Amino acid sequence: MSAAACEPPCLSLDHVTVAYRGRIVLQDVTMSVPHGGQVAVVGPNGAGKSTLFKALVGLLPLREGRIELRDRDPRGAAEPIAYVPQREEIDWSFPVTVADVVMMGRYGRLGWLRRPQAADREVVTRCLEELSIDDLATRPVGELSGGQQQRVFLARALAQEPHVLLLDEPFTGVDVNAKEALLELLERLRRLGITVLVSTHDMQTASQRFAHVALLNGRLIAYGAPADVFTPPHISTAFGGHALFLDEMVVIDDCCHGEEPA
Amino acid sequence: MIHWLTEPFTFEFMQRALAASLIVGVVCSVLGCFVVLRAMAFLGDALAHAILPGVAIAYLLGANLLAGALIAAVLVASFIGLFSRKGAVKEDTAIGILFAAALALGVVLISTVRSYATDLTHILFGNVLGVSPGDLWVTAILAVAVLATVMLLYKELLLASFDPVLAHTLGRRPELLRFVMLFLLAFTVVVSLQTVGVGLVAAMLVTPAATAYLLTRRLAAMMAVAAALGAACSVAGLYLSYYLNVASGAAVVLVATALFLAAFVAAPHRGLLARRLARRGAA
Amino acid sequence: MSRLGALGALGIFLFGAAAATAALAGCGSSAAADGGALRVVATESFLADIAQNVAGERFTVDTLVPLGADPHAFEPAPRDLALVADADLVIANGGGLEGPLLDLVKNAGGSAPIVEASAGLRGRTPQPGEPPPAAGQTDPHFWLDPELVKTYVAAMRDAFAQADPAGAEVYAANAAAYEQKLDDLDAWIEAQVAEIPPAERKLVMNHASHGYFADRYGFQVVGTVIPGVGTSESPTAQQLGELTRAIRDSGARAIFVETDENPELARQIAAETGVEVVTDLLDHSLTPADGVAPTYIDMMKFDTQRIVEAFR
Repeated sequence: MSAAACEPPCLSLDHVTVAYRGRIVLQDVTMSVPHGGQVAVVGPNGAGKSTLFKALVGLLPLREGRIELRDRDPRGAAEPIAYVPQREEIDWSFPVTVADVVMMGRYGRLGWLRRPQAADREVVTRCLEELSIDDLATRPVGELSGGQQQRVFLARALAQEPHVLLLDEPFTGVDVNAKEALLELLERLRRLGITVLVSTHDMQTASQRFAHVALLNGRLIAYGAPADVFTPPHISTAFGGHALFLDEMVVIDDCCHGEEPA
Repeated sequence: MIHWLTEPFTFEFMQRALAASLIVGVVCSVLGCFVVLRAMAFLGDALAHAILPGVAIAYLLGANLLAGALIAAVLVASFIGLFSRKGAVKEDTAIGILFAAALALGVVLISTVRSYATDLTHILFGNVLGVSPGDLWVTAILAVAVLATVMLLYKELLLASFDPVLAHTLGRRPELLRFVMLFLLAFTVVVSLQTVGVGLVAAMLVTPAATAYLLTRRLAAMMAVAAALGAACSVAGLYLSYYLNVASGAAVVLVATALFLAAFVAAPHRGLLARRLARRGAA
Repeated sequence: MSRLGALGALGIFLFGAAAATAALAGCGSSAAADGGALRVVATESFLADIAQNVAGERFTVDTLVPLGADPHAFEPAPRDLALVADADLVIANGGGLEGPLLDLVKNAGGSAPIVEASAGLRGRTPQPGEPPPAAGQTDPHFWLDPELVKTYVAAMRDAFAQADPAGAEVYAANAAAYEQKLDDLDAWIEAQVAEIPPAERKLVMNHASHGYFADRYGFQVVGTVIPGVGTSESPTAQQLGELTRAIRDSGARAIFVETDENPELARQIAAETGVEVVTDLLDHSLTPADGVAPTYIDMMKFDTQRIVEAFR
């Protein structure tokens, strides 16, 4: 099940199966994302969206299958996949400023013993400006609001100069303006040829603003253009009894649907 | 006036006490930044007691006691690392468990050796007034090695402490770095113990760093301030102990504590007074 | 703050501190000796007293460990060690009594020779009921046998004479006089102890302190609460059990504990066996001038009286 013909290079998953705590969470996922493609990953809670991202970035081992970026295994590679988790489990009282945190994104490229150079500092400044937080550069990260913190971690991901960017539920709990700003950013990234995967519960945004959608529930139910994916049979399979089909409308109750691995 | 400043240091043992105290104060304060930020404050005290079985076994085998202590410290540090891997058990819990276990093991082993039991540990628990030139060399070399490692691996240690998830995805091996840090601590604690004793080491690992935390916003600044504080307490503490004729190591610790209290109350943004004023201003 | 800057700052700071220390060391010097009187420091108060008797009027002997403090646990403050650094002669007991304190004293610098007063004395063999000695350990409590103190006196006399040849004759005379007093003390103790029938002379100590006393005056050491020469161990349950049985079998009348020791363990065993607990024995520390034992000889007499009283 692949989208448009894969223009090299691309991100491809080949029969990927991931287990967590002994339980299989994702089964046999095969998909291919074109260079610069933008994919919305949707599905009920516990569908395995976060698991997919963690497997892509190497935080979870693959039980089976292969992941390739530009014909090379991307996990731990020099040209990274950048991952912005939904919730950062970090110590907010740690003495680091916003600029320090964004600079951490450069560490992968710096290697073990080298110190940040002027070029790195330029990248950091650009990323801060991109996210409109350059005025917060010297503030300790624990003093920021939730929205500001999210932008800091997004800036950090951009500072990695990744080829693939994974955003785990970036639209959750943000207001309309922030969401628009984020979507504009994603558009800029698309023009730069950066591949983006975004997981979300916002089906409206997914179908209207994304070229491709992947519908998951333990396995890949459908992948392709929104119109091809959001069909009643697919939605039924994905959401089961939580989806109610009325004449012109589908109502989906998306609560408490199994355990999303941490 | 000058005489007042120079009189204590007309004695060689005081000169060495000052040098040892400075070196230990600086190294422990810098490493102490990680100890404080990663909530491992009991580590110094724990390692100091955890070396007991190592010393006992070395004694029974007729081997070098310092080597026994180092091996025991590294082993205990490794177990702390293992138990708290990936957050299975929190670091302070792991420390608590191993501290008690190692101490008990040491006591049991020593009860089979009927001698001055305290001698066995006192051989390793130094006194800042009892630093020999040899001790000073060993401590200085260790200090340089430890500080150089921290400087070289600064950004990796920072990343591993702040965000192990990112560290992992960037291939920075946070678990490995955690062990590196624990080993650095083990070595530093054992050698410093031998030079200046338990009370001083345990305090220098925590108090100056905690004070520095209240006064700075970035880790690099925190380390620099902690080092400066560690050095300052050493000097002030030694002077006080000379003129009041009280135990020197303890005097240094109390000066460090006094500085912490001052910062706690009066620090510009994080101090008690500053926060009260801010609240009142906001109201 | 750049990393190189931080490293540089640290280096400069440490270097500066070392340089300042070296510079300070250059200035000033310890006060010159006044008119040739020897400056002598003894680690323990009983040593200081004995030494003072040999020194007579020629100089005063200072004490390092304060009255009542345990030499093993004593933490000297800088001026205590300054006393040692400025001294011409240091007198220690030796045999392991001072423990880590001796290392501190040696490290305190200064060119003073350290005289171990008990040098040359052979350690005692423990009696059957006592714990066997740990490898390489001797019982350092030689001074509780006045006869052995004569060795101390001789060592001090020779050391003083070497450091101050002008006073050699005075020291010799003082030493001889004191040795006479020690003989008198010895005879006095014999007479006191004679009150107790030999078969009943059984001692139970809190730690193995009065071994030489027991050997000299015919006491059987039934056992000790703390199984060793030091005061900081804990006996195992088995050892306490053996001691209890030994006390019952031997018919000992009292357990003797020293003033600065914790008597709780002794009290438990005493309750179990119905013996008395004497808690104010003296070992290494004299009392202040207005107390019961301001001198070594007073201390020995006090201990003897307490022991003999317990057997009445």
